[in-house]
Amino acid sequence: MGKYIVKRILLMIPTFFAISLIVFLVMHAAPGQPGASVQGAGDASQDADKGAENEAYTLFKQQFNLDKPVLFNTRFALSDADVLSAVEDSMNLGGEVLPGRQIEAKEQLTDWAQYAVPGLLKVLTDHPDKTIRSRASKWLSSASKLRLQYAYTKRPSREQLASDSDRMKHNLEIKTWTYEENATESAEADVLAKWTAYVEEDVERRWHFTTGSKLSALMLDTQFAKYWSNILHLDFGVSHLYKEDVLSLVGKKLRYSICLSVATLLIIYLVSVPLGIWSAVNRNSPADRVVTVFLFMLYSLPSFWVATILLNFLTKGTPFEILPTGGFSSIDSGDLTTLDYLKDVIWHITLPVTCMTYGGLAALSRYARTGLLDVIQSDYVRTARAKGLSEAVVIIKHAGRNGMIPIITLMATLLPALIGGSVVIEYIFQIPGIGSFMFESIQARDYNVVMCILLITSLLTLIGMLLADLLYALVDPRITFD
Amino acid sequence: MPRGFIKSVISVGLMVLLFFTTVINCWQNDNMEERQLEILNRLESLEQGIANGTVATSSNASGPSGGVHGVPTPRYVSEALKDPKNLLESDPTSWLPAEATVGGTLRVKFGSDPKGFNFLTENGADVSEIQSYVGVGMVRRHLEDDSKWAPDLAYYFAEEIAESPSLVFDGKKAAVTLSFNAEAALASSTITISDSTGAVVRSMEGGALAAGEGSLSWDGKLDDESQAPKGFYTFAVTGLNESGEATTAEAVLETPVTYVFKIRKDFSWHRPRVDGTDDRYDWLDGAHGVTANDIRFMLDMLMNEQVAGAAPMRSYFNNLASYEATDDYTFEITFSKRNYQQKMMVKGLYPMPEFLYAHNELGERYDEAIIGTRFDDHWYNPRTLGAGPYEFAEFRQGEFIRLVRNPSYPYGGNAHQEILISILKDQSSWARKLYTEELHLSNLQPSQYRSEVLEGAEDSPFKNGTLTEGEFWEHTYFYIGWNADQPWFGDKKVRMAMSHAFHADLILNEVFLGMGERATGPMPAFLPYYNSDLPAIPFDLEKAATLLDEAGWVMGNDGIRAKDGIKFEFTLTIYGNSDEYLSLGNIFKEDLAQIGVNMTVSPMEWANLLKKVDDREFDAITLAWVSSPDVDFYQIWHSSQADVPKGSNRVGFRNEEADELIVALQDEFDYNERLRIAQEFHALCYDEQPYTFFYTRKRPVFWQSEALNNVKFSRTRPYMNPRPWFLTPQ
Repeated sequence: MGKYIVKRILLMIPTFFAISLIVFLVMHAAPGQPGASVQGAGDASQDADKGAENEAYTLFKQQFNLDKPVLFNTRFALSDADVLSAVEDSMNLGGEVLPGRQIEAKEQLTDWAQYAVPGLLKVLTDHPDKTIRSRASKWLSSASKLRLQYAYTKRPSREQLASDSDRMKHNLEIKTWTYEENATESAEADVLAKWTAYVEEDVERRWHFTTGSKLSALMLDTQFAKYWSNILHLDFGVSHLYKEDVLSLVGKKLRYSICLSVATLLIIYLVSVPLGIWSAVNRNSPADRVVTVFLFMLYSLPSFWVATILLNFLTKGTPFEILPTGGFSSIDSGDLTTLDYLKDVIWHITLPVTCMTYGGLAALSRYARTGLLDVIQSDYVRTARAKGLSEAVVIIKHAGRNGMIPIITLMATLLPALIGGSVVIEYIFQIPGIGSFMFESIQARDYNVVMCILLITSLLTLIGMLLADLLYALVDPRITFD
Repeated sequence: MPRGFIKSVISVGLMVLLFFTTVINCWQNDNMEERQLEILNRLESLEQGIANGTVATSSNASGPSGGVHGVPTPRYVSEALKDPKNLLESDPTSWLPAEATVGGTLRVKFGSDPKGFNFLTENGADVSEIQSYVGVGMVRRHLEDDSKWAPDLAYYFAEEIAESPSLVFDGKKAAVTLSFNAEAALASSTITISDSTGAVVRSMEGGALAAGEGSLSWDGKLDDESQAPKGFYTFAVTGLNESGEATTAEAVLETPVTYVFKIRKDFSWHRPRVDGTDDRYDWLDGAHGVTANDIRFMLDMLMNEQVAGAAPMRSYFNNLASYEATDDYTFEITFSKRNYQQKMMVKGLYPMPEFLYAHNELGERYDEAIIGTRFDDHWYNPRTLGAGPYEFAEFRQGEFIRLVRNPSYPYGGNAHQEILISILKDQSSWARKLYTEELHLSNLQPSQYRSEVLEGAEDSPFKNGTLTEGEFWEHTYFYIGWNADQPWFGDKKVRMAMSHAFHADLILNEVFLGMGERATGPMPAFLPYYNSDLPAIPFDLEKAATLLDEAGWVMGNDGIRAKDGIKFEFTLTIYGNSDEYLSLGNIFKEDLAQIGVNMTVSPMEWANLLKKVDDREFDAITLAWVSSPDVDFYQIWHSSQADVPKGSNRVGFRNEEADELIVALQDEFDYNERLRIAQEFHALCYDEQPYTFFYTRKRPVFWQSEALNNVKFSRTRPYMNPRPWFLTPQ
């Protein structure tokens, strides 16, 4: 048994890795990208002839590693021609470049950063067109920047701040090493000399790639690798939407969702297990049929519709005004005693829990019914009856224990549903839970949040499956893993 | 008796005992908490009383508290308002009627969570709404007359235009660019720099200069190597050409302008909302007045390229030459060239509390090099701090925002003790919360308006007078944009045909429930700049067919028009989360089918839609623009913007005549002349039909008739500004 558990847990690691890889790839393959507001789409400052780079946007991308390739980084193999064509396309001097390509070229130059420096230096030195040379000088000053390490951290330490300000001073210094299209030749020569010396000095450390550094760049200087190295420190990053730590945000929202789902699960089990047993005992009777049909009718009612109907009938005085119109607790709940707060919350979650419950009844009560039917025919049940035990004792004590095995193990697989929340219900009842948060994050392409929630859910699924298997062995002595 | 029985009795007894003690414990606990809360509440109301001045304390030596109508205007303010140079006039109308009283909690709503509260870095409409309650602006528009400006934080605002074209030196910069235009190459040159009196203060060698436009740099030093003082300078380039004759190059100079603000001395920042019991925040204690340095700090951050979100506003400060707080209450900002929008943006400046935002959580000032990145992600950003009529008290994500009245706000116009903004993402809950009086006021979406008002029961609060109906007009216009770079829409006849085939009146009245007015040009119909002589383009399929024939798109055998082998088949991209737009697309599609045009409707999620627009990968698109009350067409209509990546001229409108009008409008200050230019531009747009202009939206609003008084809406954002309203005392 112990061996089995260890084996399963070890297997979970590659599975989890594969899940995270797939989720990561699918998420990044979806169109759209985060930070539309930072990019300043449609902002008049993006005059065609203005400075090359949007500094704030670059910082934003660097902080979230969005400037790196998703899975493999082959940028060390960038040729001078690639860089030149990106510079030319980003300027669109001939007017023939498609807008999509023009945007892409700008993004490329921003993202390539230090990998493009040798190519840019070549453009700066050799290119016959002064307009392009002047633009290359601007790209050089943005590409040679040192990355800030601790931007966007809520409480950076003094050392972090000091190191960042050193880097920033370096960046501000090289930012001035540019010239305009109409600059005099001496100014131009001056800038070129500065850049040549600068690149020369650091060429070994920053711009020369050995096989080893190529390999590490290929595999490790990527979004996925950075993300994983952060997860290993239990750092799920910052939500770019709320600029807050993802884990603490998810924690805040989890409070509401877990409360709803635990209540829902509890009620589902409390109602459907006895109902299933009752159905099994009275199997195929007219009453059983009526109950079955009724449960499936409930099952097929969409919850958003039921929620709206209930809200209209029970909350706004047409005809009843007995339940609140939404929310998790009253707005002035800060001024309530613990008991009153509890009452307040129960009063508020009655409707959402109802809506989340009724659909689950059908499935679970059917499970309970079949589970019991399987055993009710068996020999030992007949023996128990033959012993003269009352029917109730036979059903509950003898048949029930074995018949409910599938139900118990089902509970383990429901673990991830605990935090999954229900998007629709949370939305309609204005409960700030994890479901509506996830929905909002997907729309805003808030990758860190989406990743975090999906990873937690898949981890819980894996754990749930393991628990289910272990529970089987525990409740049914016939099953062993040895 | 069996021993088992006694055991059972004892354990049952113990359990009962345990149960009762638990119940008693809970009950006692509850009582205790209740008493605690009572004490806390009393303390709070006492504090409130002290702040409001209704409870006298010996130590309460605070200045005059601004009642609901504000403090009397200080002498220095009323004196300054008489100054003819002052562009501000006091507003004859006040926010609130005389009978207004302070008190109550106003309950309104937002449709989504604001994503942070830093006024400078967040651009959402919700954040600017919060800013208008919590923050304070330099000046504000008159309540009744949009064209006049009243004092707000600033009581004096003047414009000082330089007498002649010159360059601005701020007295600090190490390198000043001198631009010139040389007709012929100069073999050697001398640059002479003169100050505003005309005296030569510096002459230097310029060396050989090439013909054409060029630039040189001045190190800001005078002839005696001392730093030049701040001021306006001119320069001249003289020299010898290649054949040794004396010649000059023309100095490129513009007329600079300085705006001067003087600000009131009785504004102070709200108390920062931090845990007062934590020693860490001791550095925030004490009162902090609003000074001119806070405006300087705001501009520092605005011009800092590391600060995201400030970019759209930053672009209007292209010609910024210098700015400075000359003393604690005077602020000057100078531009090297004057234009109309820039003056508007200067009026839109506001102070940011430097004592808070320039420091980390321990009160240490950030290093200048990284202050931009830290400001963008400042530790105080989940909250906000202002000096306005309401203090920001609390924000619970997904639940509510609570604002509390600032009792010492000098201008008054803040009748609500609290403003509670619920965050209600589900739009159908708005109507419900009006029923249950959980909202005092809310607008309604078209689908809700239909079900509650048009099709609702007669005795519902929407009809029986419990709720009052009103409306406000948004500064927006909706349109269908035709991508002129696609084969179909380069020809204005085709675009006109599309407008004739679009059944705008039907769609506006039936789908959008008549919530708006047709627009014929690129601005809302109620602006004075709007050219009201132009009739709305009527729905006329025959006319459309004729126009298409004229443009060479002839009917093919398959019932679809074609020209040069290209069929008239295109896609209309719409925002997918809206039933109204789907209906619009379907009606349009059917009408077009009748004249041999095949249109596909493609609903799209917002992020995808933006990407399509940026890449110009669309044929036609429905969107809306928000327009400022002082129109400026450059960003959306100038040819230069058609080729800017992610630019706003997304339909590729290129028209030389239009470009001239757009630039002329930017430099024109005379009101009537501005109207003429704008209306001419409007007529041109009407003729060209780069868009099919659709409508300007009005929003229906309902409020509790009994509870809320003096409900008025602003003509500018935020439209539902609660400052004129007051609650009926309970």
